Amino acid sequence: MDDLQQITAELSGKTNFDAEHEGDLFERIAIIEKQEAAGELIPGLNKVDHILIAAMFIVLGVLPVIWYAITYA
Amino acid sequence: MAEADINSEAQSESMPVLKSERIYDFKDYTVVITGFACAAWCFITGGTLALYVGVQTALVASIAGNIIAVLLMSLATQVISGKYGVDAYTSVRGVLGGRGTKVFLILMSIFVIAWLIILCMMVAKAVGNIVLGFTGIDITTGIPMFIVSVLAGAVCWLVAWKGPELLKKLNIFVAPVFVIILIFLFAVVSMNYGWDTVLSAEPLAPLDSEWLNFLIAFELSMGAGFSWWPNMGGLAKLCKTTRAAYWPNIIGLVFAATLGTVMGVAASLLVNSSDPTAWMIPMGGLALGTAALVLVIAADITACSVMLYNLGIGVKQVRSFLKLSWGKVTGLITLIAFIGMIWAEPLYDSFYIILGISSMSCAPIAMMQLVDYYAFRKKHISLRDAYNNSKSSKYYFWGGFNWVAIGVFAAAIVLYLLIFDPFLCVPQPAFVYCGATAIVCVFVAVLYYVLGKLLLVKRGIGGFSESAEKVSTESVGENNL
Repeated sequence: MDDLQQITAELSGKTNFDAEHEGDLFERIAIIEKQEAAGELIPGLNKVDHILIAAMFIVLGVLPVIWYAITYA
Repeated sequence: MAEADINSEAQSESMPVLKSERIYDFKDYTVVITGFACAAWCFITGGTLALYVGVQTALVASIAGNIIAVLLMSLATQVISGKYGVDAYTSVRGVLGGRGTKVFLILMSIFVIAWLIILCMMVAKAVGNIVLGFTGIDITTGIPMFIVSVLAGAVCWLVAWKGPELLKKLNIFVAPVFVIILIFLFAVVSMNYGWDTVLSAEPLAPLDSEWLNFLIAFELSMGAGFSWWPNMGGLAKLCKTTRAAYWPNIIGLVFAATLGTVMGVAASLLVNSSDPTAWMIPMGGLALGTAALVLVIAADITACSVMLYNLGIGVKQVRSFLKLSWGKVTGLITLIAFIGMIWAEPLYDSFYIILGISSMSCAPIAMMQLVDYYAFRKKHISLRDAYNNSKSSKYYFWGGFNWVAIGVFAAAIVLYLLIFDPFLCVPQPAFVYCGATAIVCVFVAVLYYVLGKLLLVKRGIGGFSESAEKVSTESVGENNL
């Protein structure tokens, strides 16, 4: 049994979709699962992104609060 | 509109979007999200911040609060939705369970209805200010406002009911209109008042402590940031890369929204009113002010109709609503909004309630989603289980509800209310340490991690495959013994 048949057997009638749209949904799930298994799905953020996020969080988010706390609290 | 079409659209909207179908690159999404961010809510938020802080403090608090909220929230919603092509309500099923997500969808629907009420009241106030400007008759309070806001709601319903195609076109028109209003405000402030006057203007109703005023502005800005949670996944799933789904939020929801908010603070301080519709005529004169108010009315009606349409599509995804006609679904939502309009004036005047409730409800969900996706599920969700509504779904938990997440959510709300009263905007003693949302975020992350490890991951409940395999291996071992 291929992936699509397996998904159809597993999910048929169990989604909120009507029969016409369920087929499309199952095809999409099969494609995405295949891409994920092959490592071809859209990748997440990388290390550089995470460093930038941490830097912005601290410099623009936390430090101004600390500065105001020191100045006015 | 044909029922088959709307039902088809409702179902198509909740389909996962494939990599090859994505339409937004970094630049496209930046334009879309900036247009979305710079709208009526910026001005109302600005008007609220002006109660407590001046322009400079509002600028710092707005950037700090929004950036913390948007960075954290986007790490949860945007990354998952960008990767798998699903909306926020599908991606959060692994956290709340299928039925738990539906309950949360209803809660968020109430929140959207509150927004509809506020925007309709804003339309009514704009009409009232035009009438006041031309005739001197004040209808900006009481029953006339209720009647005009109900009429505005009815117009939105007609637009949402009859013209989804028109709506999509109108949606494009909202952003430029607000840019025009922003430019109008900037020009008027610069030419008629000067920025020295703005920078030296005192807040409208500050507390005694400068630190508390800053913290309230920071708190409300975090609320504004987290309030985007329900809308984000639907946009992220159309982005070609995760970076394109993530970083434009900082440009749009943080920096562009802050620009609109600060303009709102400036106008509020100059006119001595937190109501955006009361700024235009005193600042720009009768002709220009009326033109600006007409633009505000047009943009609010459009934004309101789009929200009603999107909420209708969202509600249609629940099977029991699928059988109801489109007119009835949108009519039912509008009817609820009509009832809520009885309290529209106090809600409009106390806009901080919406921002506080946003923080209280969206921040815990975003934090649990972060812990769930990065710590428990190791950056993987199961689409099969997310779309499976039966008991066989791994995301069924207990009766369709993840009671661990729901318990943490309830505890977070209690903690929030102990620190800050969002209904009266009154800080409790503990608020002085770092506001309410920041503490709630840390509390939720730690509590959900500990309880989730103990009650979900170790017991293999909720599709935690590694632990499930471990549990089954252990039980096989026990059986063999």
